[in-house]
Amino acid sequence: MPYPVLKEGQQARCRQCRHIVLYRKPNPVNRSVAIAIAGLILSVPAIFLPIMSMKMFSINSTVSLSSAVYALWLNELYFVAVVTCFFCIFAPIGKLVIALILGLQIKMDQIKRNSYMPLIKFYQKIDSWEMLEVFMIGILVSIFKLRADADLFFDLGLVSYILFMLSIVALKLSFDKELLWNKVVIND
Amino acid sequence: MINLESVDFTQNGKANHFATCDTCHWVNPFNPKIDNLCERCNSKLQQRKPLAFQKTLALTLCSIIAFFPANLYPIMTILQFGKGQGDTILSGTLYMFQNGMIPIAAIVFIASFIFPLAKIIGLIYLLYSVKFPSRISRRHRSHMYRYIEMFGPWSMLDVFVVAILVSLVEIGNVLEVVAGPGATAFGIMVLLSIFAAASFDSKMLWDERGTDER
Repeated sequence: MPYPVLKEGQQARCRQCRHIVLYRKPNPVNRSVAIAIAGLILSVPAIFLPIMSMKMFSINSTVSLSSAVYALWLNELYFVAVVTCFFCIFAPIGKLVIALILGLQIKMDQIKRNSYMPLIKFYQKIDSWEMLEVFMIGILVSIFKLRADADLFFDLGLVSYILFMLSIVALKLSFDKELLWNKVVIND
Repeated sequence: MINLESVDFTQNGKANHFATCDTCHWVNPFNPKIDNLCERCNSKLQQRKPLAFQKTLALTLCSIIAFFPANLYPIMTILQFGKGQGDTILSGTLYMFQNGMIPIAAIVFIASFIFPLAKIIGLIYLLYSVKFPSRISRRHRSHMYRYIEMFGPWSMLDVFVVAILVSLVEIGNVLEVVAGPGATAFGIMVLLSIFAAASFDSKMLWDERGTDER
């Protein structure tokens, strides 16, 4: 059944529960390609550069996203380490990579039949498991916990982490799954 | 293709023999006697998630069970000169509260205690309202379900704080943070409750007892 044709920026709601059924995002393809490229570049410093460092008795220790996951692994919390790694590293990067591939396929007008649909499905699967903004609040909470007892210094990693997180938020706002689905040709 | 003129708009999609694809949201004609596949994405179609009630109930009960070790075991231990006491989620929050960090204590308390608890109670209530009459309108219950789904990930907050502290605070033998078994239980509880929310079918709320009820 064809959807009512919506213009960019319009939305359609459910008759019964008023939930938004369909929302046409403005300029979705160009924006998500741009955001995906920016996010992928930012992901490297955001994951590996130290987010902040702590100084105490002239000993310096730092934390980055990757070292936090590694520290959990060393503490024998294997489950938590794997889950954190997936939520904060693999899921966001996977989303950006898929958004880039799909956006480029549409922009170049070469939708690859055997990869296009599985990629959208995979994007939808990992979509709800990405938790960068929760980790951001986690950084804030740990800053407050340590602020009184130690000297904290913020590094370039924090800036790139924030920008990385913002690019994921921006992707959420511009990546239009319904539009991607609409490009799938239906053969009866 | 569906002919819009033959659709009875006073009835829901199930009565009109339609099914929305769970994967791509395409509306398909649905024949209950055979296995239906989505015209657009070839996923298996179902009008209602099979056994949604039982699955949600089972997963919610599991997350209730995991709720106890998650809150009773320490999630981390701050070791000063090799000595220290374990901190559970609640005692950590209480410590912050007593030290004047009230807003941040409130955030942690809400995200890691109130949200999981509200989620479990909310899911139990939604399941109850599927079987028994409820005072809350179905529209509000649908909203409730969407909020339950949305707030799920925020419960991971405390686990991430532990991850950061364990990695950051390591000043030789002077000061060290060690993660505790509570973190694993907590992570399991959050995952289970996310799965429980995902296995619920909000269409069940609209199925019960006629269409006149709002």
